Amino acid sequence: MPIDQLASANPPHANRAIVEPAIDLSRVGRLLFTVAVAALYVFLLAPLLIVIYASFSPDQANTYDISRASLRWYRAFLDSDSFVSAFKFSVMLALIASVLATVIGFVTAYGIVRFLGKKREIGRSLAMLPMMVPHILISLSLLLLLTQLPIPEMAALVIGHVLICLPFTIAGITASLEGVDADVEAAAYTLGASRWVVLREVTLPLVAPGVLSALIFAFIISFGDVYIALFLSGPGMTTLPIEIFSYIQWESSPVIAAITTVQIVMIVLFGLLIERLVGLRTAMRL
Amino acid sequence: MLLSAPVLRRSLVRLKGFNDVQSVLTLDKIVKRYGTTTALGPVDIQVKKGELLTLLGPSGCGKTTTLHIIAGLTRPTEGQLLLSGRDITSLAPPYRDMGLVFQNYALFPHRTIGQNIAFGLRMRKVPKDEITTRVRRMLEIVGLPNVADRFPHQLSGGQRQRVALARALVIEPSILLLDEPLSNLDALLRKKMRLELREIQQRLGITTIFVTHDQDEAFEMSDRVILMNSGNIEQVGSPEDLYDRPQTRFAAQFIGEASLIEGDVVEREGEDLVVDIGHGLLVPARAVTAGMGRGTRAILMTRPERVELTIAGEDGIAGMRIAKRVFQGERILFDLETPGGQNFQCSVPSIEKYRDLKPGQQVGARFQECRAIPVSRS
Ligand SMILES: Nc1ncnc2c1ncn2[C@@H]1O[C@H](COP(=O)(O)OP(=O)(O)OP(=O)(O)O)[C@@H](O)[C@H]1O
Ligand SMILES: [Mg+2]
Repeated sequence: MPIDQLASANPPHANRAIVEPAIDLSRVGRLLFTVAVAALYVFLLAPLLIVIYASFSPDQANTYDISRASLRWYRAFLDSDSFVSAFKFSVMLALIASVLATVIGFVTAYGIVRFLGKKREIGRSLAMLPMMVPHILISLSLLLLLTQLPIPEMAALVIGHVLICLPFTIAGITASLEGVDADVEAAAYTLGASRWVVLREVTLPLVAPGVLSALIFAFIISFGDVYIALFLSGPGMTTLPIEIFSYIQWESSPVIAAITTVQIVMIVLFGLLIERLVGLRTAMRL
Repeated sequence: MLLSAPVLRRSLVRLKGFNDVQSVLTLDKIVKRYGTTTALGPVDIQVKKGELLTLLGPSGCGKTTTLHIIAGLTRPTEGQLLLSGRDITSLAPPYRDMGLVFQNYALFPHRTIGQNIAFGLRMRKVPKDEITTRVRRMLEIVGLPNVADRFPHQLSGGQRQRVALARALVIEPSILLLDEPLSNLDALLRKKMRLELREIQQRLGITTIFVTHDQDEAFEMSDRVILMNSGNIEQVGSPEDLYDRPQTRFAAQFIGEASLIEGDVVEREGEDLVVDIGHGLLVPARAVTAGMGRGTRAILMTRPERVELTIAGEDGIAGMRIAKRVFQGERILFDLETPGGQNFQCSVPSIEKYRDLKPGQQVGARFQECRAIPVSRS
């Protein structure tokens, strides 16, 4: 069934009022659509479900009787110094990188939206460019560049992560800022607020949901990065993905599944939070 | 003693502002250019204390630009801005003490109505209790005593408009600036708000600059009107002046229904002219400016209600052909054509005498209160 036909399918109550066809075509379409969507979700989510399932395994095996589920591998994760310290390091790195990427992203987005005028599209496209370049290339270029500069390795890693997060924070915050009427800022300005106060009292509260979403998004990107960390992290700076990566090269155990499940839960929670924030933002417009 | 030209000029300007106590705000040769295109000016405007001055003009003529220059949101490329004789050209908006009402109201969507109105007072560090009383009083003035705890999106357009007005008024600005504040309202509400706005303005005696492209609005509300056209001032005067004595072709065409007929001045006595509109048809007219002597070209401005249609036997200039007839119910509007092929309009009451006149028929016309505008000024 063609998509456009699906889209134009009437809501059931609208149909009922007018005619009562023997076979309700729109209902068939709706059913097919639901099945297709369900299949898509199964396809997308099945690997995750398998990982979650495996994480509760009572032994080394990946298949087991569900009644024997255990938290054994979660305990193993918490007992492993290398995984826990990698997890902590990743969280710290992601925090620093996402905050920096959000602050820089906000300033850039503000400039693009308020000061570029007709050149806005060019500004936006330029800011999006790093998103098109494979991370491994960015990583390589940064390695070549940053090793020439006298900066600590930690800084190099942070810079790399900020760089891959920036397109996302800029895009998100630009969209948010475009929803803020420049006249509202001007109104505050004429009412006696300084530029700084306008930012604090008007602009920031209005884009706060967008900014927070950008922050969470950046956190997730930084947290999940492999390539930048692979090239730029020095000794004692192992991120969780790198730790996992090196671990699975030698052995395979459901502890990886447990760690992955923890991450999935984190991301789902963040996702729900973004959903709420963005929902909030729509509610705040008229 | 040697004075450089700018210094001399500045002191003269200061003196001018000082002597002219009446002028609260003076725009002195203000120009705004974007790149190479001139959006505004040079314009000179003097705003008198307590008056409602309207900037009237078609879209894009520079009304908002002028208002934003006054508010400090746009910096003029050239010229000076004087507030009570003080040069405020480069003063930032927060220090200007102007109350600006935006076309789309620009209320803070994340703040309640009370907080919206309190904003300017909070910025001025007014004590809390005083803020509360002043906000309440302001809400009463604009006729919305019970909405303080609501959010802007919970109000109707007309109510939002009043809140925007209250927010601008509560800081007791030296000048109130209104940028097409009524254009987002429906026709009925717009008419009601006109009177209300004017009433509040007069009650508070606040000097106001009002921007509109609607001439009815301008006429009904203003003490004085500035007619603007593509970045320049076309004419300044009372609503009556503008309607009755347009100085330029643009002014005549923009304001009210006007028909323009070109002709040659054949006689002049004081302000009274006689103009030949071709084929020896002579029309009496009043000159709006000096310098329209015998032999110069002039544009006659008539309005449909000032032309009387005459039929055979009546006292009028004969030889006009009916080009078009539009029945409007109460009145009938005729498009008449002079023998020289120039068209003008004539509106008559819908009475039997005129009802049967058809396009193509010959009639006469008697022009009353015809104005003559020099061709060179148009
Ligand atoms: N930022 C800008 N850059 C370039 N040109 C501009 C800018 N702002 C305004 N203009 C130009 O200046 C002129 C005057 O604009 P302005 O907004 O003052 O018109 P207006 O009289 O308020 O019109 P409207 O009735 O449509 O609001 C217009 O021709 C406009 O294109
Ligand atoms: Mg405008």
